[in-house]
Amino acid sequence: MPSISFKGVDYAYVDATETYLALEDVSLEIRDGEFLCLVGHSGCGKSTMLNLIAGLEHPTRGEILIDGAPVEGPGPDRSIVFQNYSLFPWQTALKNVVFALRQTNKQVGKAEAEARARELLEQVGVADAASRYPSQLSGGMRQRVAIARALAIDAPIMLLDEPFGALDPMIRRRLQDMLLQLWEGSCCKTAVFVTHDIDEALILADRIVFMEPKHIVKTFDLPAGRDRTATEDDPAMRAIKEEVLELFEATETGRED
Amino acid sequence: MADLAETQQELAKREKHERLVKPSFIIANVLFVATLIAIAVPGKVVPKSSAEFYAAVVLVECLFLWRYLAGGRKRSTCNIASVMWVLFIAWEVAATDLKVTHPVLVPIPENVFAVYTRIPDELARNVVSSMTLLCEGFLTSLVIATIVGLFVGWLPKVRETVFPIAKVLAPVPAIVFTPYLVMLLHSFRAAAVMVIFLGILWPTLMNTILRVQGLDRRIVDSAKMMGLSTPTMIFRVLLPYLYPTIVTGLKVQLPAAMLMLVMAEMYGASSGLGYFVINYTNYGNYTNVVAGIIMVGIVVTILDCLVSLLIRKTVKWSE
Repeated sequence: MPSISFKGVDYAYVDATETYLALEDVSLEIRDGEFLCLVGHSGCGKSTMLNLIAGLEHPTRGEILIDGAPVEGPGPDRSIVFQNYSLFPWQTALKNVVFALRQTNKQVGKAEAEARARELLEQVGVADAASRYPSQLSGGMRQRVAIARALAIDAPIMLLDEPFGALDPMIRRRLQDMLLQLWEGSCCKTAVFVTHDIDEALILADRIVFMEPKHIVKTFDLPAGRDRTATEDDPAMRAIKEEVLELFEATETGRED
Repeated sequence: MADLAETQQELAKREKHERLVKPSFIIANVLFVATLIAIAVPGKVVPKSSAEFYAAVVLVECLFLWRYLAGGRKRSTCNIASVMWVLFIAWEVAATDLKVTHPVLVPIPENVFAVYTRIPDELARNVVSSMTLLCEGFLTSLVIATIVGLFVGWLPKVRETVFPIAKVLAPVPAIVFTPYLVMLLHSFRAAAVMVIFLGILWPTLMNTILRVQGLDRRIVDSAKMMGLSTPTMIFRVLLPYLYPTIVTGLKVQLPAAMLMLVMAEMYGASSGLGYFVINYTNYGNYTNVVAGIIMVGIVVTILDCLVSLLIRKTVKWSE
């Protein structure tokens, strides 16, 4: 079971001529099997945090450790779901999942991989879309397939970068429930979920980390074993929501990447 | 009179319902019959044989009926056929029946179509010669441009150097190199292949670079997260992604290559379609010239149909 730690991380990128500091001396411990939500205005560096864990970006100072070992680059011990367009458009939904399965686990035979992929598509509720190409799917269906693909990689760490950001509220709600179910079904994975929707964070998270540009402002531990479908009724949750909303008011929007 | 108008209206209505027989279809077929009559009418010029022209006309009619019954856009199909018949009739009436055109410069259609049965081996030899050169130049160019474009597009630093160079070289018409290349390479054959190669290389390279550069970062990141090896990245991600660009590019580039080839052949070749046309122009045999020009049109059309078929059968996805 992996834990992720940020140790004094700086991240700067060069944009045309000037250097822009996106993260400054960030330290954070993400516990084993925790569902952590990174919340903040767009441009506050939360997606950067995710890319750093993924190994797609490298810190300019400090380090990120997974189970004590520094992150060297991207690898199949972490799976990732982006907001959109991350499925391979030249493969059908089924092929996308099969490809991920077989590339990350070479022992799996073709027939076995296909059976497993169909099972995963069934789980996320798009079994009948197996033979369709991503361009023929709605946004919600595409994200379901993307989640199936991430599950196919079967990584102990799952990174989700505003996966439901582009969906309308009804479908968003349904996918959140689905994600939770899958989560509870496959115990012990660690998840980092980026969102700017506080309600989404309240439903999904074990812990919420609120960020302003460059820094972590505050973390909130949410009560374990709560009724996630009724966050509005719980006074403790309401208090957290109000505090987060105040933080949203108080902080500025960062620079969009 | 009133009765007649009424019946016509009714007929028109019924035709709209039936959908199969449209007025444009009737017009096209009336024109087909008119063409046959125009050929049959004894004119001022008496051709040796009209059989080939009849055969060509019937072939066109068969193609038209096939497209009409099989495809959509029936009205356009009919209109295209009608235009062809009008041209055929004009040609036949002017050149054969009335002899109002220049007897040498405008050959009669009967003789032009007779060329295809008179010297089929010579025509076939030239078509094969052209196609061989086309394939050699075109395929090497396509393969090299794709491989180079893939790496250049992938590496930003290399791209910044190569792309501007390609951008300047791409619009230089490759055909201007022909005389120089013939001198330089000592063989017309090598020069022709080289012209096609150069003509196709730069535009294809530019397309490929732009396309690789435009690959969504999220797709690349997703692939990286799976820990793909370099060959897998190339053969299972980049090439499948590029494939539609490559084959749809053929649609533009194959006719372009054909154009360059025919022009190059007119310059210094001893075989090929371009040579066939220029050679008979020099001898003043305009019957063969017109037959050669029609042949070039047929070859280009067939190539285009093959490319369309390839696209339809193999490109299944879009973004």
